[in-house]
Formats: sequence, structure tokens, C-alpha cells
Amino acid sequence: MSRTDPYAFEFDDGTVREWRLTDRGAEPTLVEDYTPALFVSGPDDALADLRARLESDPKTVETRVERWATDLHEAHVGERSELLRVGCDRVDDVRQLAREIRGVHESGTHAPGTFRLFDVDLEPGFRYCLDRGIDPAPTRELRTLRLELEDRELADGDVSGLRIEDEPVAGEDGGGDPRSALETLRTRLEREDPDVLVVSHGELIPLLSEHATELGFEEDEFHLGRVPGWTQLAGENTYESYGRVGHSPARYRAPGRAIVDTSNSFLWNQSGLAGLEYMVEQTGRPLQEAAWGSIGTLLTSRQIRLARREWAVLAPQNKWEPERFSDLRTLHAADRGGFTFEPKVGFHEDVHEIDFASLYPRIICEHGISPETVDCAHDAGDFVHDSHRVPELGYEVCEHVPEATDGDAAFLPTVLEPLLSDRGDIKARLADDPAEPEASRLRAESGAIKWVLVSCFGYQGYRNAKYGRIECHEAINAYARDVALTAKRRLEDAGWRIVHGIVDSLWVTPREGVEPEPLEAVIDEISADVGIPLEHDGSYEWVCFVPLRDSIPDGPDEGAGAFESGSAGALTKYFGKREAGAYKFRGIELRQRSTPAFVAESQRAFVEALDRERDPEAVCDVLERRLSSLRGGDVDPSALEITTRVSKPLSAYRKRTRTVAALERYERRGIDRQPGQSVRYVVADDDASGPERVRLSFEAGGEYDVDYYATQLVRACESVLSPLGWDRSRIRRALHDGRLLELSAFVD
Amino acid sequence: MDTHTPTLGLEFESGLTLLEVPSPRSTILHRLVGARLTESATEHDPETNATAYWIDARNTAATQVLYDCVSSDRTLESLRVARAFTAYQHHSLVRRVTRQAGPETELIVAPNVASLYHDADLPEWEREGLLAAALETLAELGRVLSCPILVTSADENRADTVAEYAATTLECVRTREGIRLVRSGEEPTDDDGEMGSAIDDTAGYWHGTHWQTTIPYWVDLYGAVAEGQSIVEAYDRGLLEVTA
Repeated sequence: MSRTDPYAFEFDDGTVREWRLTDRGAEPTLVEDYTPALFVSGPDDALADLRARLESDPKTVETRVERWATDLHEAHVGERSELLRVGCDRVDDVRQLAREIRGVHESGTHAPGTFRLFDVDLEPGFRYCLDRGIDPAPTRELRTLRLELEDRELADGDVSGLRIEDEPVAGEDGGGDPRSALETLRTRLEREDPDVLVVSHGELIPLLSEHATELGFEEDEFHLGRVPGWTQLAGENTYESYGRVGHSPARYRAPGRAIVDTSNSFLWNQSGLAGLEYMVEQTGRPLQEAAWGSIGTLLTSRQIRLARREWAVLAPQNKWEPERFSDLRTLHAADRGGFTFEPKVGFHEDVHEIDFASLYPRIICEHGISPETVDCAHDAGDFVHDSHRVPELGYEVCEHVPEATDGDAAFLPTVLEPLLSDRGDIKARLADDPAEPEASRLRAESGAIKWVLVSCFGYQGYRNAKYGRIECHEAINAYARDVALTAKRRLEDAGWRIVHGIVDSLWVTPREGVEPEPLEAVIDEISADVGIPLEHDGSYEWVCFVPLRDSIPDGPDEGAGAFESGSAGALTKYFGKREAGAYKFRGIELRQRSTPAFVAESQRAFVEALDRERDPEAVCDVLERRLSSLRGGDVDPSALEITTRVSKPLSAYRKRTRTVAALERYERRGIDRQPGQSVRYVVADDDASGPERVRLSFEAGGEYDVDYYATQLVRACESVLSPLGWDRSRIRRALHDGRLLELSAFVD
Repeated sequence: MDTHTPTLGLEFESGLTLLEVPSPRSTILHRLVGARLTESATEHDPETNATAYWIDARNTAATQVLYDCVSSDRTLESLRVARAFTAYQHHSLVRRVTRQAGPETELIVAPNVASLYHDADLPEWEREGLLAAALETLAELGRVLSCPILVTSADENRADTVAEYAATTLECVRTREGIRLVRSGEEPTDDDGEMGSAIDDTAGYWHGTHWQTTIPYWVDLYGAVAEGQSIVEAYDRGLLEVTA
């Protein structure tokens, strides 16, 4: 039997330690002959000059000229460029060398941008697997061990509160001390020999290790890895992406084990270990690097691997290639977004939701949309090729040229096709109702795929997407509009009325006084026509589309309290009841992360009352009871906690918001909150301007601000009743006990 | 129609003009391009190639705004637009224009010209050099082609860098009469006393120490939109801002 591929990697001083899973644990192998490399393209003489300079650079171990494609289009037309391959002694040197090539060697002697760099910013493990053709997917079932500390304990450096697999290490009687916590952990590590440490915070690695040293444990007595030692891989970092501020904590390594930091792993939180393992397989990123990757990072890795292996295309460092100059008419058409049908605000019965499943990825695959095919305009040369045009835009989409690459379809479709087909298979298998744990593994994989598919379209338009092109983004949009309009026409001809639609979903109801054609038949016809399956997602007893808050006229005591239909509908705010009985909520308070549990739960009760009684007055009765328990102090404060995301450092806030008050309290407790992280608090006194305004979730006791939460309740109720034409002043009049509410609950 | 001397047009022809705009979303460039192309459309054969290039940054080239600046969509047929989303792309577009533009090119514009060079995805050490190379190229292009190159900047610090490469720097000042372009470094005179002339046909040129102009002035400057173009028409077409 051939040796299995390793699953974890460490890089030290020019060597690589690979870890292979064995039946009992994992074994290391030291690799000394690995030379990571970056590539440089540029004019021949400039490259020759650079080569001569680099040969005297101690970071460089070898330079040679190799033939690669510098972008997908070059590969598509069967061409290659001569690039300088610069081998480095240590993987850590690659970025530094890249900086020097552009910043020192290019600058001054050549025009900026003379040298284009490739394969610069790859994570070390991913790079190694790519270079060596390694598939880092685990070769047996992984053993995990979960270690957790509360934020506050972490801030205090108190390890006695350590929990292992959800169990506190300290006994019920509070007999925990740091030494016994570490002893217990050591025993568990020895006995279970986990392959993956799933930690609540990456900082647990240095904290636990340093405590062990302080308490006199010998290095070989206590170690979180399979051998002694730990390393910090990257420092903490605040960044901005898609206009949102994020925070990535420092990353650590414990030899021989993969670390998953759950405070910094989208994938773990969405899909757990099964989703993570699936993505290791699909991207070629080793488990630890897959764990902290964003969806965009994972998608990029998958593309880089495919580009390198099947297309001989390297990963560009920067996005130099701009769009072509085009006339205004084309730009005007291209700039339009996805198609939307204005929602008809109100309460609708007998509504069907129909969806184009994975619309964007399917458009990409169906029409061969890819950076190298859209507006390719290539001279076919020796190859036979064909093309089609994008509706509205007229971009020419070139057919894939099979002779030019190893791939058998255009690039982007090749990236997505396997994910689409896996997702289809998984859906089919789930439909057979498999037993656990099979079912949850399938759901996790499907969830992981979903996120990548959802992101692939936006990613094409993302400024720094390595293989993204705005023209692809526009072409996909143009096809999507075409698909939506075709569907609309056919549905309306068949006697259906569209009450709402966003890009890939349509809500339809039989047109009044008409016997419509059976929906399934119409759907099948549309699917066949557009080449993308349209699915009947669900039938609703009723659906309410919620108006935009701005379009609800308000004012404490004036007006009739009802507004005319025709208010603008919010595109993504609705709720309804499926014929099977379950509710669906979108965009309203109870779906928002910041909404306190009590308010969310109350809103659900409002919807249930509406369903039961079909009468706004009945909903107001529920509101009245909720308000009265709020006034009576009967609500558990933990149900009033608000969670919000911090968008900037405390010092950068100008207004004294609740978040600021919460940050001040965290700071007072010595707990570090970075932009991108969350704060959790209860509103204690909304009129206060200082930190007294809120109380953090772990701070005991105290009152909550009744009026503040009453306002929240009224708003949640208004969202439910506004489709029926009720605003908050009418809600107020419907309450029997006027004392339950301050007037302030009705004004913004 | 009168021709005004000294004209800004002469200075444009010699190279790069920086417009210091109050906001990255300023639409003065849209209106200047509209006015310029309106003028050239009456003079030139509509079948000729692209005569104007727009190097976009930060999605400034809102097509609807541009259409609103002209009386006929066909006026803009000779305009070519490409959008940069990174500084690298912007720099590449500047280089591309040098290959595509020629003697027929009448105008090149680059709104928010320095903006992308300050994004986080560009390493600190690279910003200055890359921006300088782009600006130098644009300035040289203006000299070689003898065509006006208008760039904008809404950020004062960045504008200073751009100004180093510009032959002319004008500040856009929003006034009650409209937008006034002030030659940089000189204080605008008091609004009082200028109002009458601003809404007058003869409004807006050299006032000794500053350029005071409304959009019709630019229309005049470029030889006028059409015979007898009145202020009222200019206003109707959105060329003139009258807020009073």
C-alpha cells in the first residue's frame, strides 16, 4: 500500500515537517529538500537583469526560466510566457523577496509594474501541497478535543475555568486550581491523542503553555502538540473587507495537531468538522489553514489549485488587468443589478415560492462564463472555436478550447461544476432520510458548498479576486435578468400573478378570477426553456410582505393610524406560514442577530396570534401581555441581551452609543474587544450617557430599562401588523391598559 | 459667439488640469464632458472614432448622470469608459490610454485620480511611485496630444500631490450662482456684486484674480453648444446650478 498523504505541516528554518495520520496517532517526517518559489514575468532584458541581481541574494537558492501562462486567457489561446522562477530557502522569505523585487530591484531602474509577480501570497501549507501534489484531506476519522475558556477568564489569564468537551475541569464544589486544570488536560491529551484541537480562542495555546511553564511543568511533561513547543504564526489583525470591518485573532501552531480557533472559523461555525474536511478536499488547503479561511479565501484556493494543475496558470499577486474601454451604452446596460419585482405589501393567501436553484453558478456553467471566455475576441488560430453573445450587453463569450488546456470546460464552470453536482447528490441522499451521523455529515457538507456557491458570483466582481473579472459579473447579471423576465412572462401567461421576486426567487399566487395552468407544468416548461432548473420551493397558506419602515407614516396621535396600500415593500422582509405548518421569517427583527431573545420570541408569538386569529386586535392582546410581564420585572435579563458587532476601536466612536457604553465596561474589566468582534449587553438605563447605560452579560444583577424594551416590543409588533395597514399609533389605541406604554415607545 | 481670452482652454491643451472638487461624488466632470462633447458633436463627423476617454475610479462614471448632461444620448457615442477598481488597474488604464489615444482625441478625464492609490491593498512603499508614474504619464500625454486632461481630487492632501504634475489647478467652489472654478491659491472675491454677472450671458471669466464661471461659461469656452444657447436652456439641461 502506498504511503498516505500528510494532513498537517510545519515549516522551520528551511525544512518541512509533515504529519501523517496512522491508525493510532500521527507520525512526523522531516523534509529537507523543499524549495518554495515565486515567479516573475516581465520583458526579457529586465528579467535577465533581475536574475543577475537575485543570484547574489542570500534568500535565493536558485533561479531558472520556466514556461507558464500568466493568466487564464493566455492558457485559453494556447500560449505560454517565459517567467523567472525564484526559489527561496525558507517559505517565510517569499513575501520579503517579492517586496524587494518590486520595491528595490524594479523601483528606480524600471517603470512601476514592469515586473508582475506570481505565487507570492500563498499560505505555506497550501503552497507545499500544491508544489508537491499532496492531497491534505485526512486519511482516517479525526479525533478532536475541544478546549474552552470564557472571555473574562481569558482576559484574567485564569485557566482554572477551563472546559474540555463542554465539561468544566474544576469540580462542582469549585475545587479547580490552575495546576489541576493543566494536569487534567495533560491526561486527556495523552489518553486521547487528538488530531485536532478545537479551541474557543487561539490565545489559549500560549496561555496554557505559559501557565504550564510557570507552574513548573517540564517541557516534555506538558505540551499541546504531539511534541513540545508552540509557535505564533500570525499576529492579530483588523481589516476591512466588502466595506465591513473584521478582526482576525493571532494564529498559533502546536506541532502534529491542527488547531481550529472557533472564534475565527466561519466554516467550523457553519458546518463543523465535516464541512471543514470537505473543504480541505475541495481546496487543497490543509485543515488548519482551511479552518480560518473565509469563503472567499477558500474559493480562491480552489481556483489557484485548478489553475496551476490543469491550466498551467500561476496565481497573480495583484490585480493589474483592467476592464476594456467600452461605450456608455454598454456600461449603462452592464451596470444594472439583478432583477427584482417590487413586493406587493400586504397579507397574501395561497402563495407559492419558486426558486432557480443556484442560479448564478448554473448560469456560469450553462453559458460557459469565465474570465478567459467573456469578450475573449481571440484569433482562433489553429483551434476551432465558436461563440455566443450575452443578452443586452453583446459581450461575446468564446467556447472553451479543449486543445489548449487539460481542463474539459471553461475555467469558472470547472471550479463550480463539481460543487453543484455534489450538492445535488447530497440533496438526493438527504431526501432518502439517512440515519445519523450520516445525515448531519451530509448537511454540513451541503452547507459548506452552499456558501461557496452563493459567493462565487459576487466574488467575480470583487476588486481583488485573483481570477475575477467585472465583465463576468456583468454577464452573469445580464443572463439572470433574462432568465427572470422569461419566467415572469411565462408565469403571467399561465394565469399566475407575481407578488414578489428577488433575483432567483419568485412568489406567485393565482390571478383573481382565473383558473391558472398547473404550476408544476409551467415550472418544467420554464426550466427547459432557460436551461436552469426552476424548483417549487414551497407552498404557503399565507405570506406577508412588510413595507419599508420609512414608508409607514407615523406620529404618536395623529392620522387614522392606517396607511394606504401601495407603501413601498422592503425587498427582503417577509414572513409566512408554509402549508406544512412551519413559519418562514426573513429580514424582520427575530432574524436579526442583535435582537434580544425576549423580543424575538414575542415577535414569533405575534405571528402565531396573527395566524390563529387573523385579527390585528388579537395580536395586540399578546403584545399587552408581553408588555405587562416586562413591566412586572418577570423577564429573565439574559433574554434581554443584545449582541452587536464592534465596527471600530472605542476611541474612534464619536457618538455615545450603547456599543460605546459596552466597550467602556469591557475595557474597565480588562477585556479586549477589537473591531469585528461582538459585544453583549443588557440596556440598564437608556437615558444614561456613561457606561451605566448598559450592563455586560456576565455582570450580575441590576435592573433593565423597561421603556427601552417596551419600544423594541412595539416595533417588533409593528413589523408584523404593518402589512395589514396598522402602524404603531393604531397598535397603541388597541391596547386596553394605556399605562403599559410611555409615549416614547411610539416615536423614533 | 464670443471667444474669450485668456481661456482655460488654452491651458488645458498644454497638459494636465486638476479640479479640486468638494466631494468624490462631484458631477462637475460629467457636465464638462457633456458640454465638451456637445460642442465637438456639432463640429465633427459622428462616424469618427473615440474622441474622449474616461478613466474611472470609485464608480464615478454614473451613466445616468452623464446622459442627463446632454440633450441627445448620441452626443456621448464617442466617449469610452473603463473602470479601475484597484490602483494597479488604474495605472494600467493610464498606460492603455497612451496606446489608444491619438490625434483625434479631444479630452481625457480621470475623476478621483489619486484615490485608489491610498487603498489598503496597495503596500505603503508602492503608493507614491505608482501614483507619480500615472500622473507623469497623463501630463506627458496631454503635452504630446495637445489635448486637455482633466483630473479631479476631493482630498486636499492628495490634491497637493496631483497638483505637482498639473499645469493648472482649479478649485470648484459651490456658490449661489453655480459652480465657480477658482484658480488655486487665490481667494475668491466676495459673492456680493458677482451675482448679476453670474446669471448673465457674459458671466464667468477672468476677474483679475480668479476665474469665476458657471457651466455656460465652459460651453462658451468651447465654442458654444449651439447658436444662441441661452442661460435658461443651459439651466434646463442641468448645465447650470442655480440654487437661489
